[in-house]
Amino acid sequence: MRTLLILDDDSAVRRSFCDFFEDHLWDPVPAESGEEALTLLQSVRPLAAIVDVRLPGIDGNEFICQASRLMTSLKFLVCTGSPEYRIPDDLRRLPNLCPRVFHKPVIDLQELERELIRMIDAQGTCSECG
Amino acid sequence: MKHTELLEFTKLQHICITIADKTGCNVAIMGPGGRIIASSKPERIGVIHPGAALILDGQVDFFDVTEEMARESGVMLEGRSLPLELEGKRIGSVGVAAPLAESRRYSAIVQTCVTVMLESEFAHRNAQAQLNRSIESSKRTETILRKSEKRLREMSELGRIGYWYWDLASGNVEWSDQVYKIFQLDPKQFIPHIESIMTRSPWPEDRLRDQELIQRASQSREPGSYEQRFLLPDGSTGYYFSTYQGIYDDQGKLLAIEGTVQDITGQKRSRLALELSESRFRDFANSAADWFWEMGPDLRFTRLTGRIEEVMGLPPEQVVGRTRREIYRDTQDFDAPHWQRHFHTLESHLPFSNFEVRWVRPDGESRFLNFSGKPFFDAQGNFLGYRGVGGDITARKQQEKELMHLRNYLVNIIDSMPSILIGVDNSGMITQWNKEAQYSTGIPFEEALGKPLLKVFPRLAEELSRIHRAIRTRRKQVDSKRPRQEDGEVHYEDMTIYPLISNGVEGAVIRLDDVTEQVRMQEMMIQTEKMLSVGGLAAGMAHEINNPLAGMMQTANVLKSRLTDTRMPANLRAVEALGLSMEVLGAYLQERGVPRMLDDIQTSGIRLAEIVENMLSFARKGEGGGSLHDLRELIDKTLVLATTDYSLKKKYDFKTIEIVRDYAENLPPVPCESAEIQQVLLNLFRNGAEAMQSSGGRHQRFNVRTRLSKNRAMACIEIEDNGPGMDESVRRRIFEPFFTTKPVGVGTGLGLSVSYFIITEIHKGEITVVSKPGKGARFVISLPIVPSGRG
Repeated sequence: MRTLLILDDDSAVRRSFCDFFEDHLWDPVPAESGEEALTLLQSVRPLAAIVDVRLPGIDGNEFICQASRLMTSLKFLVCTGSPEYRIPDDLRRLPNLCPRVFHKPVIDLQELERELIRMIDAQGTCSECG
Repeated sequence: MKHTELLEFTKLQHICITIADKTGCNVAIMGPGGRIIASSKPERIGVIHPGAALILDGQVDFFDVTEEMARESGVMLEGRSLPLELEGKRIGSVGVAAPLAESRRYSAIVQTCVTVMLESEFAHRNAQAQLNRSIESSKRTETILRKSEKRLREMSELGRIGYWYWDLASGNVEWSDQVYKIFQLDPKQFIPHIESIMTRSPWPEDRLRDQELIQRASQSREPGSYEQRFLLPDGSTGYYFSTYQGIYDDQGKLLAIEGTVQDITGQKRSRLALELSESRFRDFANSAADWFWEMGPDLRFTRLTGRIEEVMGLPPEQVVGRTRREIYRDTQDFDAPHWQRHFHTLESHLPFSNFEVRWVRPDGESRFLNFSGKPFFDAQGNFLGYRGVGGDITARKQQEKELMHLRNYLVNIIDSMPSILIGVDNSGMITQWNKEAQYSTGIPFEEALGKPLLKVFPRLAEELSRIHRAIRTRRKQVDSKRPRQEDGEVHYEDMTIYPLISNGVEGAVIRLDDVTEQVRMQEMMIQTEKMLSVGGLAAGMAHEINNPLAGMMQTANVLKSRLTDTRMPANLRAVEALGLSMEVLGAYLQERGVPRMLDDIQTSGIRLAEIVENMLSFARKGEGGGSLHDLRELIDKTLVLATTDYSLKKKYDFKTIEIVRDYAENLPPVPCESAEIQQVLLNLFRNGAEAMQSSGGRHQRFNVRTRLSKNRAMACIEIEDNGPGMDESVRRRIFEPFFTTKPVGVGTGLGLSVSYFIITEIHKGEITVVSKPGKGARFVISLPIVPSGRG
């Protein structure tokens, strides 16, 4: 089973991601906040994380920053409701962060899944770089 | 008085009576103070003689009195004082009042009296003898005097010459009857005395006339003459010619002055009238002309008076003897028509007036001169020459020039106004018509002038009442942004009617300004404002909307796959565990329309997301520039996209629409965001196609043009459809956010406003629409060829 971290404070959104990926044979691990997700990372080892940006406590950017240090193999994909969001320059250098940002609502969830798989499959080369 | 003291009254009385007896006259002897001391009429003795009044009363016509007596009694002697000598010695005088006295009856008294006096002075002589001699002498004298007096009186009356005698010692003056007549005075009321006479000469310059006369007579014994004025009883002034001659005693002392006076008022008045008339004529003439000239029959100047030298800089003597041709030869072109006409006039001996000439003075100064002249002829009709006037009209010419200059200046100002300016009078006739009015109507000034406004400018026909109101109330009338159709486009103009009330000329000026551009700009600014506020709102809301929307849509997505995906292992497991079959469940869901409902959720969600997305585009700031793109390529690509566009439910078939391209050759590439421009174009094509489809027109067509707007350095894209068009109310709002003519749920009402935003705010260009109901719509996009400086 492929473990996937779902970090979103909106419960409906979080659950819709979990449901979708469950159906598609993933093992989604939900987290409501960045802090909770960082704690989870000590017990679970997901392949990738879908990260919301606006969060209570540390925001998505900060989470990516810290989590990438904790777990260098973890892939990140940003999915935000803020239309004006741009990946900050310091994060842009991270090889495990998908440069493509998904905006809520995600109309085509399959496309999102394909993007994740592409990132995970490219792991070998990317981890060497990181 | 001495005499009276010396003589006894009885003796004097006796003398009087004796003389009276002998002559048949009344005889009186007057004493000091004018008292009658002896008289042939004894009842008169003791009466004080009142002077000239009594004499004139006729009671006493003449009496003998010595100069001394007369002086003391205040009686005036009118007449001549003849020295009376006895034995070679002057003993007295005989008063003769020839012009005055009506009778010589008292002549003898004089001598008697003198004799009496003589007797008293030479008391040792025989008084009786003396008296007798005196009487004889007086009779002789009387005869001579009578003749002389008669002659004199006749002459005097004939010549209306008055005689006067002025006794210097007493100041008494005796007048003949004629003098009273001449001075229009009543002898009974006026007592002539030098002082009473002088009061009749109240003029300051005549104040010392009496003294002057004395002086003149003292200096010379020659008779003289003078003129004098006299204030007549009716208040008018009489004029008189007087002669005078002094009367002297043995020692040459001036005793009296006598003379004549003659009325010359008539002559004097006519002379004065003549002088007045002459001076009047001179004044009139001088004010009418600067100088006068005369020419002889040879047309040479003979006489010049007035300011000719001052004006022409030529002394009259340089002009006299020359002809006008000779004088002006150096400064004039005699071939000029006005000179030709003038010479012809002169040679034909015809009058002329206001012949104007420019004259260059010897000192180089220029003057404008004006001549008028009239020929004159002798009794036989022979031409004698010309008389006329000349004038300096330089100042007037200068004023005319300035006036002309001012008029041109004002016309230039009026013509350079960008407004249409039309002047009308009270009856609506055109009085002013400026360049802009000519340009706007194509009617030249000459044609418009004096014509009714209605005829020349029909679109103001409805404004006549307004014009009248402006004139009547003297207030300007304003009407802003009046729409009007021109060449199928709506234009706006501001109209102001100003009443003209100066100089009593009633009328008005109508000013029309085309404010179409301003109105459009205003509309655009309003649009932009609205969009920016929508953008700001959207930016704040987007996150809050997107999250619940994601919850809805993503859940619906999962829901759909869980309900309808027959191959998903989780689904199969769950169905199996519950003893259901996917087929039955699928049939049930289909039966109940659940997949359609889920699709509807999806569709609505997508629309909502699009709205948020579109609204957000208003929040974008113009960045200007972008890379260079060939607009023709962008249009063609967009047309391909439109043809294959099936994303919306198919409401039109783009392939059936004819596309007519008209691309300018010289269009340079334009800096722009190609995706955004394509979005705009696509939106326009879609809208146009939908509109044409909805009206069901048979031959649907897009005219797509590109052109260069040289003056504004813009590249223009025109997309024109032949759909139903739109009315003014729709046209004005078409770029407003959320404004749509489509049924609810079909359009977002944001497409055109987003396009508008992209063009005007992001690309600093312009987008306008021209449309009329039934006439299709033409959208014009203008993009700057040079990127705007703004970042």
